[in-house]
Amino acid sequence: MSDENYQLDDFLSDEYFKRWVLSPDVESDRYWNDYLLRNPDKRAVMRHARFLLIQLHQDLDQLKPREYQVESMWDQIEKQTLSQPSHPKSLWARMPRWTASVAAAMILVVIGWLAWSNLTINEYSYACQTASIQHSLTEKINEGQGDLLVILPDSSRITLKPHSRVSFPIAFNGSDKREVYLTGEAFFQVSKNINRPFYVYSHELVTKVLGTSFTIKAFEKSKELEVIVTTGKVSVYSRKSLMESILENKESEATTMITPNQRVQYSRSHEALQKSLVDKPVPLPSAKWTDMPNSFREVPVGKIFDTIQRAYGIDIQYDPVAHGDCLLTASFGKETLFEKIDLICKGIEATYRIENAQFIIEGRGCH
Amino acid sequence: MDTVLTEAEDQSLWISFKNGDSQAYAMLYQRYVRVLYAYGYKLLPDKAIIEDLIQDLFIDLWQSRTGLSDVVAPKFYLFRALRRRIYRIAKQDQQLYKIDLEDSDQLPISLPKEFYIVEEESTQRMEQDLARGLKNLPVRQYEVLILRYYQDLSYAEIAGILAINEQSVRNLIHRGLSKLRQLSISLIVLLFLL
Repeated sequence: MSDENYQLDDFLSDEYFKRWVLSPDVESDRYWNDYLLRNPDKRAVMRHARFLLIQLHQDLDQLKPREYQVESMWDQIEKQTLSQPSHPKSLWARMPRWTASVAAAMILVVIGWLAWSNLTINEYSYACQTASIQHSLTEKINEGQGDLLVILPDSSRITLKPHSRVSFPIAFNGSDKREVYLTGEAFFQVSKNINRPFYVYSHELVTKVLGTSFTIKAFEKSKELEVIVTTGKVSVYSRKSLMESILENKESEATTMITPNQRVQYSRSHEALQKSLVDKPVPLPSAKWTDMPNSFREVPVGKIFDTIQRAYGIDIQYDPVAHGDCLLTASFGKETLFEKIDLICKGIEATYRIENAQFIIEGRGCH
Repeated sequence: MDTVLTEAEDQSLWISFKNGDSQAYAMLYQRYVRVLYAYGYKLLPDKAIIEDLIQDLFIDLWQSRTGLSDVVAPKFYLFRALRRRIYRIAKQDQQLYKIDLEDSDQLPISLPKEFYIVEEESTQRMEQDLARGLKNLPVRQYEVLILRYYQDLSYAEIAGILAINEQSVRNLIHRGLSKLRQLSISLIVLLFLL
């Protein structure tokens, strides 16, 4: 390649570089990552070029007209051109009036839809990401009402929910990664292989695991994407931060680690990851019934918190001096974890809040 | 994927439109109205005027279609036509619309003092400064950068749109970029320190 001597304007004019910046895929990530390994002195100029491209696109995209403007301008244009009777030869004039307007309306709808679907194509979309490597992928689509079980070449299992699709290589032996693409919702049970991390690319989100089970919800049009862990540990980051980590030559800082009963939500409008607890935390599969007794009699609260932490794998921050020794008698029924914590707090005159997927217990103590 | 329209596709659309195909006409409009509007608005930030100009442009296009050349690139044609119309308006009413008609280099970018203070986590601020630098570029330099790196037009096409020669386009781009490069020197310094 002749791109070894690239200067700023060469990067800016290079189609492939531009495409990588504006809609990267695994292929181009790899190419430019390798390029940087060969030409480490180009890092700064590449960052500069990327920044300029993004800035120009942001500036100009902001100035684009609203859809109602596009429509009203077209109405005016149409009135003075296509619907003028001064073109007797045109198809429009020869048809009865109502056919013409119905046809015109239909054409407009089709054009509008085409334009809209084109314009809202997401740069990190499933379609974009799989396009360049489609030839080497197998795709499974669940168009039915029930779940579809997909078994991968490494015997990992994917339970594909309705209206979802997943693409994966015919064999995983080509690379040191196992890479899978998802749009929609799926539950993954990944077979453990420490040497070959498992990656799921779902629109703007990248999920990396070694061997765990988790669910990803990433529908094309939804406002938020979500990853929920059932067992093990999962790291999640956004495609955007992946690109930045390539250019900065360091591990992505924006990686969010989650464990069971935790989830990561990615807000598409804020382009940010947020870690939180799932709506209904359940005891870990590894927790035994005896680990989480239903009633406590005169038990120090610290001990109850510790029991819950172990059973659910969720951290509870409390002040051992103020609360640890408060004695509590309680019995639980079918309450959710949040209700249980709330009951305990009431018993010791404390309150709780949830921060960064942890319970934080606050209060003056029970002395 | 969506933005890269092959020239051949564009060309056949143009030919169909010239032959009176109203669908091709509507598609041309849908393809280019948004980028044209954004470009026009950048030059003359007046919603009503830009809407009017774009409407007139497309109406005239339809009415004069039989006289148009077959070989023209529609994108180039539309950008050039819109720019001419904008400048005609701006010249008529210079009081109202102060467009930088010349490549006025009067406003040099001043580097904020903080630029030379290299701190942790300041990469982001450097980028903010770079963004500000971009906004402070003379209109014409900025316009050329847009046409080249946002609209992907060739040097020759940009020369045609701005009615200047190709070398001047290259000079403008060069000047714009080196201004921004000045700004990014501190960025590079920072990267070395990382």
